[in-house]
Amino acid sequence: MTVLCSSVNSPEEAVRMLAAGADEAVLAVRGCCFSALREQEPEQLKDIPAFSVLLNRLFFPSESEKIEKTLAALKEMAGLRYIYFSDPAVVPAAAQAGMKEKLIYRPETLLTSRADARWWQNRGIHGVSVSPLLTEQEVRDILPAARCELTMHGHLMMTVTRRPLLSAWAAYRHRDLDMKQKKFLLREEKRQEHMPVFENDAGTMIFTDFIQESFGYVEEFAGADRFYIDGTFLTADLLADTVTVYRQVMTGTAAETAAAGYMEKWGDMPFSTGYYGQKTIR
Amino acid sequence: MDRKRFAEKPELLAPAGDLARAKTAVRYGADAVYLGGPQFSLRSRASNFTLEDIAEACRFAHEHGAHIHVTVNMIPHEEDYDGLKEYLARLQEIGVDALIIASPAVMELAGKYAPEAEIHCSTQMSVTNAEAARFLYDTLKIDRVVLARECTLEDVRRITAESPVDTEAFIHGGMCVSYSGRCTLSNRMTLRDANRGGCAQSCRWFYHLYDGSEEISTENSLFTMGSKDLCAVHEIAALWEAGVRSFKIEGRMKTEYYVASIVSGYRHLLDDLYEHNGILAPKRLEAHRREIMKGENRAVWNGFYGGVRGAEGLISDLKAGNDVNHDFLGTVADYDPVTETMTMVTRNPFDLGEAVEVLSPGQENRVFRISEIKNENGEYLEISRQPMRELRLKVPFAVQKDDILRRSREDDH
Repeated sequence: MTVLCSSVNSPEEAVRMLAAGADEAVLAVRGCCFSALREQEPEQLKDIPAFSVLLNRLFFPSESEKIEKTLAALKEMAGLRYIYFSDPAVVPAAAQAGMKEKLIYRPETLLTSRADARWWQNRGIHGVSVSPLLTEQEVRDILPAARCELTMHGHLMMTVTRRPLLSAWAAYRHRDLDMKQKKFLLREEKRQEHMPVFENDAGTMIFTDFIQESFGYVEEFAGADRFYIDGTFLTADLLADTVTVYRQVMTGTAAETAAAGYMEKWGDMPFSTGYYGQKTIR
Repeated sequence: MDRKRFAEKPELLAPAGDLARAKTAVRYGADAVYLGGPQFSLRSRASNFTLEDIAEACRFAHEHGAHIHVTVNMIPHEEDYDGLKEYLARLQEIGVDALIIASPAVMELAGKYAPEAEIHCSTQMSVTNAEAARFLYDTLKIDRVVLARECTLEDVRRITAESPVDTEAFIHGGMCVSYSGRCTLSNRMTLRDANRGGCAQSCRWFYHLYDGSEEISTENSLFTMGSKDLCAVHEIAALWEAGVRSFKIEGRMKTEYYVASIVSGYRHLLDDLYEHNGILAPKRLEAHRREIMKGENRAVWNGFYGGVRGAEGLISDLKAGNDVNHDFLGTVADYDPVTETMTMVTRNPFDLGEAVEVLSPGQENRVFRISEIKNENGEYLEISRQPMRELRLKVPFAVQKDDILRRSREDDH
């Protein structure tokens, strides 16, 4: 049975998404995540009944001890399901902590073939999160190779840099920006779409203007181990409705039927089937 | 400063987009050259090497005591595995010294089908700590790790000290604004897959910046994120002392002139450091920097080696800081010692009386002033304005075929 999980911005949102139909909420641990707007201290997670954590930053030598500390803090939490990582250094640390089977390799862009999926699976981790850059056919091809998670919904992380880009722009232009607002958007000069962007101590992250939407792919991708909804830039109301629709489709309601009300309510959002229906070229 | 470290020279690793540039890099002092074929490499538009070209590059490099590294560093989709095993086996037969790879599955295949070639973990894997290097060594028996360009000098020191395999660090050339391999701006903007060689460099475009619904940029202050290029001249000694095994120059899409200039500049710098146990006077180091920068036409910074910084490393005004360089005047086609005349093939304009610098492999650069220009009919000229034309110039010292001629600036000498 495919697990439905959703990243959330707070423990409160986690509880709401679990009630809406998610099997797990995914939260970011402070100082260990690239891709989340809001981060939590490990102890803030202890009462969540089913959660996974994003430990998906690339760690520099001065940060290496964060991995061990975070794993130690999480180890005894009953609700902990899985740990997302992208830095290979997390694997030996998790093995040392007896938590390797909880790992899910989520490098955003680097997992694009059956052989790589199998290679990571064979390291004794739980599974892999497949790049959202794959087409529908490529996803079908990769699913049997390993326990695969698919990113079904949400703004996709488009780029991550160690550089403080927003601060750099502000410094060069002698402007003050309140980085805590996290409502910044970029629009390419010749286009109309707006891309969420934010900066934290890890650097700057830019997300797609579009919201990946995959209700119609649920049945086809039924062999996936997990469906991931990225709630980073979705409001709690939108996210809860999204979770509910996926749950309905996963339990047998036709996608069109389940999504009809959703589309009526949220249809002005920039939904797209992303790369599932659109092949990239060299 | 640990002077013992300077008893052994690190590798100077140069880029090449075609066979001519590979040979140029070797001639101008590269210890190794990295290049790629059109199918499995990350810079597909800069990877024009057929297997025959790679074989010739290996033959030429080995004859000169240099090595050839081949990039097989795309992030592979299913279709990209077609022909890969055969390609890897053929690379080994040809005598390639190392393979630069970004996918664990491809590394495994390389271990099986090209076991004699070293495996170098590409910077696309963004290794930023020694534990990651150790994990890749333990599981894939990699021989070297190319460090992420986001590493500071202190990061490089610590990783190199603790890594079970050699480290390779970039010292010059273009930088992605983002972590290599983790950027899909190009995919979104142009549907060209950056991880399969199609990067459209969308990071160098202009963007409007909004705070919520309010635009906070103006037409004169658009958001940009194009990175300055790396120039680590001032960090070379520290990187060497840290134990970095290989110094890498970026630029497989750059010209032959660029390759010759930059490789030659760093060759002289490394040799100078070697002779002086890693210690050069600031004035001497600055002279090396000036020499290297003659081949560079983009704004540079010292990358993350100087720490994590913002505006300092970005081309905040994309219309500035990237002057087109017209200093490359041409190459030597022939030299007649009797008449002390060379035949050159022109590139950029020059005038009678201008000072010209000659870059010859393995030699200090030499300067002469143009005292005589003749065309193919023996007619005297005062100016040259046409590219790719054969002209004859008097030159007061012996030059060789393929030597590079560039405009000399008076204040450099």
